Amino acid sequence: MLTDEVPELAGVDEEDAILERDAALRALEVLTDAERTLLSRAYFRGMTAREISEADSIPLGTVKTRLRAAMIKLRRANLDKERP
Amino acid sequence: MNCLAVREHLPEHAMSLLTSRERSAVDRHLATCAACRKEAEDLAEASALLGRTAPLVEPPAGLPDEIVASVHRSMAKQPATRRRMRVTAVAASLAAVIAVAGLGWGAVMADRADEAEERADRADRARQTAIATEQLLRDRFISGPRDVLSSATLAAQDGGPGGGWAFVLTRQGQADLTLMRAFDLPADVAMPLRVWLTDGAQVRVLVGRVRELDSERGFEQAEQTGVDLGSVAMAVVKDAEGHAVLAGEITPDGD
Repeated sequence: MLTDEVPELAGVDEEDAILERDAALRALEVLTDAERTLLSRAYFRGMTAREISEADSIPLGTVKTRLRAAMIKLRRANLDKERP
Repeated sequence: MNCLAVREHLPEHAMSLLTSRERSAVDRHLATCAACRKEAEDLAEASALLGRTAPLVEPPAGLPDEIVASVHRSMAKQPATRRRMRVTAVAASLAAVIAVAGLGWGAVMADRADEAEERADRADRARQTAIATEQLLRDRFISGPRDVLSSATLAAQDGGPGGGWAFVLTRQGQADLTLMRAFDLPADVAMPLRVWLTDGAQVRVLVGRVRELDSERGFEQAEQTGVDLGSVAMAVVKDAEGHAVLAGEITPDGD
């Protein structure tokens, strides 16, 4: 399972977890406020694309496109940090 | 599903936001399509990064070392589930206390007492956990007369099995906190469940979504929210079809 193979905290001590968290937070900095808000609503509040589209009265397809764009941008930012 | 339809679902797939049916359809496609699989892996990386931004979780102080270690182990074993990651440090330390109580439940289950006795035990455990949780909330988080702790006993609707409790802590100048524990829900309940707090009229706050039941056929929810929960009067757990499964009236606890 793709999403189940990322045991962030498994086998790492606390210091590693803190470093990983700092790196992730730095990657987040490349996103715009709107992108961060969107990801936070989906990831931390568990809102589906449909719920976001209904709440904001914007088309479902637009929400999905923005979600993907923000996620890809975040991943890219993290890769760039690892290999400057 | 073809590639186009699958791609549309992949961001939500990575964040575990799909229904189980959608998820299976996507997974079936991914098993045979390397291009979509690559996209899914990239998005899963992004999702994992989001998980890492969550506050680090510390078990509450004063627990016996052995229990702290077992909480650590259970959390390390668990993949980056959103539920675990979304809880904030404060809420997570409370969830850890509940998890510790859950260890006791495991022992009860291992004995395989008959069903009725198990249920009675679970209910009793839930009650004890609720009492301990309330004490902890009072001791740690109530610092002034404007901080109010309310609670609800959740009762099964439609004569089904199940029960639970909820606490709502409203604080001045700080995020409000909700904690909920449910158990013994019907085996055929339509997932995912949604947990709502409402004032019965205008205010309706979704405080959580539950995708899977735990071994007690229940769930824990711990959530800090920026929404002012001062006016909520009811806690309601609804199934995927919108039927109320559990509900209870929220009343301020007397001192």
